[in-house]
Amino acid sequence: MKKGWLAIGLLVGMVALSWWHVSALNALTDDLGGQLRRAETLAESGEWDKAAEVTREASEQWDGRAFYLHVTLDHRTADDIAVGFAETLEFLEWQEAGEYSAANARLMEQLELLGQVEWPSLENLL
Amino acid sequence: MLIALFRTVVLYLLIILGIRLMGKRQVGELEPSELVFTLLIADLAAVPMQDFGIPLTRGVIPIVVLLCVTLLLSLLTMRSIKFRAFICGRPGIVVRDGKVCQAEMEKNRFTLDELSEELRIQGYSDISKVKYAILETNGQLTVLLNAEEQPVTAAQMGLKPKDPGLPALIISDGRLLEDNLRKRGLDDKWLEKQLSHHHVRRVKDVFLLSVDEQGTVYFAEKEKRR
Repeated sequence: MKKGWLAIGLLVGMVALSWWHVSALNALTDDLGGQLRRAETLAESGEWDKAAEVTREASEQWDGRAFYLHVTLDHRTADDIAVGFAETLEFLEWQEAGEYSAANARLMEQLELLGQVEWPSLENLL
Repeated sequence: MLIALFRTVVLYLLIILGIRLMGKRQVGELEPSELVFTLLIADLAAVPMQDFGIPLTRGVIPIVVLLCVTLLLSLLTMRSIKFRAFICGRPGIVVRDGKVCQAEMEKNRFTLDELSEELRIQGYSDISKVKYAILETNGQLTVLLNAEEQPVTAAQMGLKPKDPGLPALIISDGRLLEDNLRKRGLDDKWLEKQLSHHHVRRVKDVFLLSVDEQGTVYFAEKEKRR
């Protein structure tokens, strides 16, 4: 019966960890999405430097969790988002409004989808 | 390449651990849940082994979850007869008193060809001599002959042959198993005597030395390599 309790304990532990991971990931993607929206507003009002600073902070926040994200997510997804940040920062540096807006929208959408894909909704389960 | 190497070793060891935790049964004797586990585990391990874009946790977590669920189902099967019957099914008698039980054969989708084949494999050609043939839950057929068809035993002949008991391995591939030597009530003097009787100087030169409860020794010297 010891093995049974160990198995139950492992399952409960994994459920708890998975739940924590989903919540943490959602919190991160929401936070980064918020920062990118703020950056877009700043860029629209001509404050390119401030927009770049906000985007850079968001990018550093993402990079700071690179190890954790690569261990838990598909590597391609994590890498695509890192590339998205690099692309957005480049357009901000060159103050290319149209390209920046498109790249930023793509990045925000990727982050939103990432938060949703790990959520245990009926849509994802099926 | 290093990543492939590392992942392969980790997943391989995890699979071995999983199979080991399932216990000492062969594939044909596995419960349905254990058989499913065995079938799935290889595929689950192969995906992160080959695709480095997928995190290792995507292979490890499903394997561990499957292992835990399989273990719990096995424990439940042990504790509950009803649950065992639900998961494993019940054995069915397909031949009784020399007659084929057609309803039971149909229920188990067990054909006459399969029955004949199983009987032939076990050395029985005449169904009329079979008292019971039972289709077990693992798919094997157990055959019990009529009493008059069964081989005579020593007890029926009024004989009392000596029981050799279980042989204990004393030397295995040049290695002395001291525990077994002591458990059999033997000592180093006995061992030296055996070695000199078989014209061998060292334990390392012995491939196999076993002794049963009656003291009968089986000895095999190592073959000399060319």
